[in-house]
Amino acid sequence: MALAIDPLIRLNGISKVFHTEEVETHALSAIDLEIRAGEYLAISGPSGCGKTTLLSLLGLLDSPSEGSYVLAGEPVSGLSQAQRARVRSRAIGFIFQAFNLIGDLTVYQNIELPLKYRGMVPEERRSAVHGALDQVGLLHRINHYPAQLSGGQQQRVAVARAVAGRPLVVLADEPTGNLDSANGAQVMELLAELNRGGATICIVTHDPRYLDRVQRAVYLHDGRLVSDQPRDREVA
Amino acid sequence: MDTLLQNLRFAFRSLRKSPLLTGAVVLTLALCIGATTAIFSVVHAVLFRPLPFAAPEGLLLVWETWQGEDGSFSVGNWADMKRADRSFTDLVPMRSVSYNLAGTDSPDNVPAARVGSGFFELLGVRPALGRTFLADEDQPGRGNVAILSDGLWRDRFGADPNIVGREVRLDGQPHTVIGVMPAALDYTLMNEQLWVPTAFTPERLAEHDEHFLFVVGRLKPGVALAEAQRGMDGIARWLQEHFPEDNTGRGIAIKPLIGEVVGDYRPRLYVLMGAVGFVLLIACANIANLLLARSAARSREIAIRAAVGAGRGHIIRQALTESLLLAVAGGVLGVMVAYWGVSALIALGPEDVPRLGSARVDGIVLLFALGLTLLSGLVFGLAPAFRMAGQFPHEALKEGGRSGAQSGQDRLRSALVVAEIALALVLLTGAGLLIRSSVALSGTNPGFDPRGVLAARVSLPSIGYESAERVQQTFQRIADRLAVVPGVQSAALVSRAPLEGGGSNGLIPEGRPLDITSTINSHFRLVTPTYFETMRISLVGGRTFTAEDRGAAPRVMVINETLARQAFPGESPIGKRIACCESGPNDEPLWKEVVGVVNDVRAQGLGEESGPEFYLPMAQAPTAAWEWIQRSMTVALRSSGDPMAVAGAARVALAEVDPTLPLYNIGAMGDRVSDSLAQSRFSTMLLTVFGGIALLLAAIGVYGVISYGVTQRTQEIGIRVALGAQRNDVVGMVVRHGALLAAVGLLVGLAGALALTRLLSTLLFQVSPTDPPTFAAGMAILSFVALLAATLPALRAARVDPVVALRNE
Repeated sequence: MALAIDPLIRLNGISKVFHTEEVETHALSAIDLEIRAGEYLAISGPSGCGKTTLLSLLGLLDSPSEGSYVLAGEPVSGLSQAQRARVRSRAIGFIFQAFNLIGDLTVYQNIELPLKYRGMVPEERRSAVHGALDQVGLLHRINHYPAQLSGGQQQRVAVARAVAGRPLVVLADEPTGNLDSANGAQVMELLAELNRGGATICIVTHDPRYLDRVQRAVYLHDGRLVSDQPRDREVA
Repeated sequence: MDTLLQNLRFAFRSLRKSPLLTGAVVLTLALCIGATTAIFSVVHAVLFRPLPFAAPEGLLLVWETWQGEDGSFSVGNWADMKRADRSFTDLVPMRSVSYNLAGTDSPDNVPAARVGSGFFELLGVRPALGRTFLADEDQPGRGNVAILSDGLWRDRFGADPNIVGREVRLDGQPHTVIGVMPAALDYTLMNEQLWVPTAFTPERLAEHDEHFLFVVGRLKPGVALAEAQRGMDGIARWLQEHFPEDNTGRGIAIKPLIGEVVGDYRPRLYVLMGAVGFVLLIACANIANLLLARSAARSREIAIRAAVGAGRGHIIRQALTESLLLAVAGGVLGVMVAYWGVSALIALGPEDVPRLGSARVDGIVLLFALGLTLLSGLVFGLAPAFRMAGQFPHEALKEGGRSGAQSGQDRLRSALVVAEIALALVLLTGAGLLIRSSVALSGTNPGFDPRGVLAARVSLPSIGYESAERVQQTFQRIADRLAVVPGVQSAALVSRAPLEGGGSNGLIPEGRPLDITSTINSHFRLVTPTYFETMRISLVGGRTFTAEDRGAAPRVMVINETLARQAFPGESPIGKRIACCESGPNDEPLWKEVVGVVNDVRAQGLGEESGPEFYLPMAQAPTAAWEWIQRSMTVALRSSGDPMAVAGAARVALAEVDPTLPLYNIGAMGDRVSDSLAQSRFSTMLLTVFGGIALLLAAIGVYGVISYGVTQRTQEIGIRVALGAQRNDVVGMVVRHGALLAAVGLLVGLAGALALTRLLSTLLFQVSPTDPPTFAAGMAILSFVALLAATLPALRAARVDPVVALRNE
């Protein structure tokens, strides 16, 4: 998963301003951030500090009001919606706090979905889905529906969905927020394992227990990046 | 009672909180309940309202049958049947006639009936003024008495309370008015406006050949229809044995009077009733969908009610109270719509629908509207009520909790839309078939050119015109005089113009056995030589009549193509001979030579195939023919401009021949052709309107379900976009859902339409009830509209911000 281009992600002077009924909200101000390929990074900070906004910009779900974003050597801050969608489907894997599996689709179909949007042929999709499910240990649940799984299992399926297409970076938004501590620890271990396999992972968390598992933690406060420090990674 | 009031108060408050939804539902219901009630009031007036007779179910019409068709009785057959019958209390003859009515301010010709003396007693109708006929007034020479209809009494005699005993002149002959019938009898049987006794002569009572009587009978108590029919079959056999030359092959059929009065209109009205019922069902499905969406939005409120102790029954009652309140509001407005709708239907409806004018919103119709309102409230209210009561309070109370009933609710909503599409397809194909039929009908060549032709009737009274010779000479003078009316290009007389009906005769082509088995029953018309030119009926072979075809000249006839094919298959009929209409002094046949063949004319209406038909020159009219046509002929005047412009001059010309003769039933032939399409046009128009409403409601239904689905699935769509779905992927996904609903609805609707359009078969003309292009067009229109309705929310879905995927609620 690691890529030779370094840094994989480069943000320069990124700001995000939301305009609502004549009120301007500065969600992010002048963020400079580089993420290297194969790095395991955490974004933390208090509620409303701009963590999720930063993640949505990193994931090309939104575009910055100012500044530049270069992903794998390509500038992506000025892309159209359709171009962003294309890049998302190829380069970015998402893990959400609320799992966000689609209830009407089976485990297999959920993992297959981004691969379909990417235009991957069916045989490759099947192989990628099986590989990802094997990686998270849920191959036996392949034909189940999300409602038939526990919360921890659902989040492991979401992890499989995020990594099945071998994206450049996996973005996780509070991936343990809806899980009990045992399931939360399991998911964090899974992410660490993926990182050890070479995946670039960026998670948003405010749980200090999980900051010990990452290589580097950046801290946001009132939309500004106030600290960026390497962590001593705890080995499971 | 307190609970009910409380429920009502809460329902009222709750509905007031969503004025847009309440307004839309009430308005939809008002229109649909109003339309259904209006159509029902017509159906009730025409089909269900009892005839104004005592015990009308026991009244029957008795027909002679011939070659599979019902027909009129001969006087002799009626008299013999009446003598032999044991099943009926009475069998009374009735004959449609018309009289020139003098003795009022404006002389005119009025439709009338000659009836047997027990006629009104048989019907069980008592006169509003005076009395009915006595038995001895139904005798030759004593029948100069008349009973007036209420309408005639009011219109022509100013509702004179002293009318009884007054003298009126019918065809110039004095008659004493002995009674006035109640208004309920107006326009009930044959639209007759006065009655005189039949007063058959002994010669007429022995006559078995001429068939022109209707016979009304009443079954004796305890006699079943089948038993009476068996008795009639025996009498028919007796008549065949004793009068084989007139009755071989003839039977007798009895049928309920009400069915015969409204028979032709029954399928058309049932189709309209079914169609408007479908529209109401579609509307109910739409409303149910709206309320289901509303119940989902109110799940938290319901959960709180359940949490504080409301039972399932409480919640269902509350929800049903709201639905019924909506229904009642819609129903009250609907009754107002129905009042307006009934007036519109009477104004726009064809004039010849019996009792249409008596349609009104009366007690029974109001009861129907009430029942319909409550039923509608239950139909659209039950599913949302049970759905609300079935929600799990703990799920609804969870922050952002996902309702376990969600997918079930979606399925129910989808099923409702599928039903709407299916019903709409049935209506659209029905409307399409009628439209195609109407187009075919109006494009049908009537066989003559009605443009520029004025038609009007002239009747000569029996007094003063006793001899056939005088009748013929007078009509000839009328024809000659009308031919020189300024502006008239061509004038002719005919016993009955196309679309006016007319009598028929049995004829036998030369070379076949001279008995009834060789008879071809054929419509006959007496015409003046210029008739074919005036009507622009084309000559196919031979010649038409000339002034030389008269009196002592060889007897001639012109036949139509259908008769030519039936009488002389594979041969030229010109020069061949046919026996008909009269016999020689020794009862030998009098042969007439076929001198010409003309094209078929749609004489009974554009929708009815032409039958065999023959024309005789008026100057060679058989003596009896003047009695058959009651000394009445139609004047046809072709002019270059507006045909009605010569009406005044024609009246003056007629007055020059005999100032007492009225010219009546004046009208343009073009209008008559157009009027003959009125029924088809009317039901086509209504069904098209219902089809259009159904289409609109189905589109709203599809839009509602897809749009609601998009709202419900906003986060899912956000997730999909976050995972890389392009705009097209999202639009495609949403539209596919609409397409799936449409496809299932169309399949169900196709099956329904194939089954139900058969009911239209009697109303269709040159179109099969399963006409593939109509079905294809209906499906294409509905698919297009459904996809369009799904595309709007799909485009909204494509604009969903993927950031919603990161939100946790």
